Amino acid sequence: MTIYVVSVLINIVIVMIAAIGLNVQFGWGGQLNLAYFTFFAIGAYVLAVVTLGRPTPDSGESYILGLGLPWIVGVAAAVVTTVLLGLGLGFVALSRALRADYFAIVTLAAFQVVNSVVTQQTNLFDGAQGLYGIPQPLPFITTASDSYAVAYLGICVVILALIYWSLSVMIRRPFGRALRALREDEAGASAFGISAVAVQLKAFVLGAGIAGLSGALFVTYLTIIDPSSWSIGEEFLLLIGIILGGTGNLRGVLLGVFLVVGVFTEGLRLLPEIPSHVGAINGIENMALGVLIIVVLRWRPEGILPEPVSYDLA
Amino acid sequence: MNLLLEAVGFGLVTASILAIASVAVSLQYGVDGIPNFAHGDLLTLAAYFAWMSQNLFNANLEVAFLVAACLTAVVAWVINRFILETFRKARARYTTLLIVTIGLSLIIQNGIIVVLGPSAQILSVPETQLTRVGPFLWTNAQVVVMVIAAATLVVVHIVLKYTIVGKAQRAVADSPELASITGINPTRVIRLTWLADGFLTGIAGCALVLSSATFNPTTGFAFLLPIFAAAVVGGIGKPYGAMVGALILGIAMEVTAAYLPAGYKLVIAFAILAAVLLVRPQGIFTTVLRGGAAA
Repeated sequence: MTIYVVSVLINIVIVMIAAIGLNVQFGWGGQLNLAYFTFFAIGAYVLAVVTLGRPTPDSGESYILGLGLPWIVGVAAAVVTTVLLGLGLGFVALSRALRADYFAIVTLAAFQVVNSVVTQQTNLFDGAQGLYGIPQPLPFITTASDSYAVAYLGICVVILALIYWSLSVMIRRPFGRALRALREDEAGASAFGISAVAVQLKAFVLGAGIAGLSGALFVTYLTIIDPSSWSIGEEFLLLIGIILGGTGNLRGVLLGVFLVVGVFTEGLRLLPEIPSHVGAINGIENMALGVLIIVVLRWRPEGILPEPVSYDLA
Repeated sequence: MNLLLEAVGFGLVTASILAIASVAVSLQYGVDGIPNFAHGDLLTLAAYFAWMSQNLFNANLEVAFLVAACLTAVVAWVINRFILETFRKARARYTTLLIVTIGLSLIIQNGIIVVLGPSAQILSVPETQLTRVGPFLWTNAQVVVMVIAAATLVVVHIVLKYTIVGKAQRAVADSPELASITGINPTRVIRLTWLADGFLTGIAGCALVLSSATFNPTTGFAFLLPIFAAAVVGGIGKPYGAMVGALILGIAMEVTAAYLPAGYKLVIAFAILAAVLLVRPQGIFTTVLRGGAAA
């Protein structure tokens, strides 16, 4: 029972980290990044191939690198890779007039492209098979024990707290104000000398790095990753957490993730599987998320905890 | 050389399907400025409608396709009338509308999975016969797909150019404000455009399954990137540009697939999309740069 509760908590905390990263892009920057979860997955894959050893020939696996390096190096590599890829994708997606429609189309395209390449290029990350047996970072506790999970939960909570604190400081600084100003009125903010593309690109790259970090944390705990585990539905889960809780409000985002991941999807998991309809529960879950987001956007678009108008008065 | 020419032949088939779908997107995007992320799923829906009329009512293929196109048109009209229109009236943010269409995509995809299951279905199409036309090698179904596309595009051209409805549609796409001054009701034009968009998308979905016969709940969603890419390459809101965009995308994708694993089809589509956005974001065939946001 303890292990169940702790593993649910680990999942929630990691999704919270991912969600406050997406909040930088979507909540504060107004960027509808449909490839956010792709950065999460890339972070997970990079951590896996950096920490795993070379595949043995008889395992039938094939993937790049296989360096067998320590966990912390894997995490760093995940963040660096996603930051660099974020720079590249952000440059393309933000380059022209910051049009919200083009931005969404380009990032959706990136999601589909990366997913299909990772699936089909089997020598990259072992294709549809995926990677498994990712090494654990705490060698002094056995992985099967409850205390291992509790210790790992502790690591994740500390990381969440650090990022939460840094972001709540950042949003009060000139960069944070510029970002929010651009979201509200691009022309007006530009008139005050704010470089729209530079500020937006910084926010995009920062979000991408946090996505990579949370992906690395996630795969460390789950120890497996394959292309079927990141769909547009996962991306949507983050978005709805943010929108339900309160777009742009960090506390709101945490609340939203707790409600969506902790209450809603965990609650659905308790329902019995319908034998004649395999996957029906998952389908119902995704449909319900789609309906929920439309209902929230229609009747309470600011979410449960609205973003403060000014952080100086809050 | 033969491989290349045959790939170009397949490219023309893909381009035909893409052309119908991206002309539909371009028309609708042109009048209301919303990239509809559920558009791919409307193609899927059309395939399932055709399959259901075939299996439940023993309809022949022509009737099944007509039923599918009409039902898809109704679904598209309902989406606009009862969901997007209420958001527009409430003066929702632009990104809100985009998220709503993604939500709709999730609902349609998973609705199909819940009702009919996630596995692939097969539409019974007439027996495949290979025909050699010049250097190209096509099945008779693929020839029919191209004929359907050509006929559809000619009809679209005639409607846009010579009918009052078509002229009103183009006027609203150019400027909703100016159009409403001349007595055109943009809301009604948008509704009609969604109906036409749904009908065209229905035809595209049927053409897609006619050429491939098998389909699953994510078939149309996987097609969304090339559809958008074709529309953007041609210049959003420019149906004629979308036709050329579809031709470029279709041939590029199938030629790539002849030499590389099938997953790289999407890579080339993405590369073309990115290149156009970086170099000529207004699309290849738009000569005048229009100011302002999505019009």
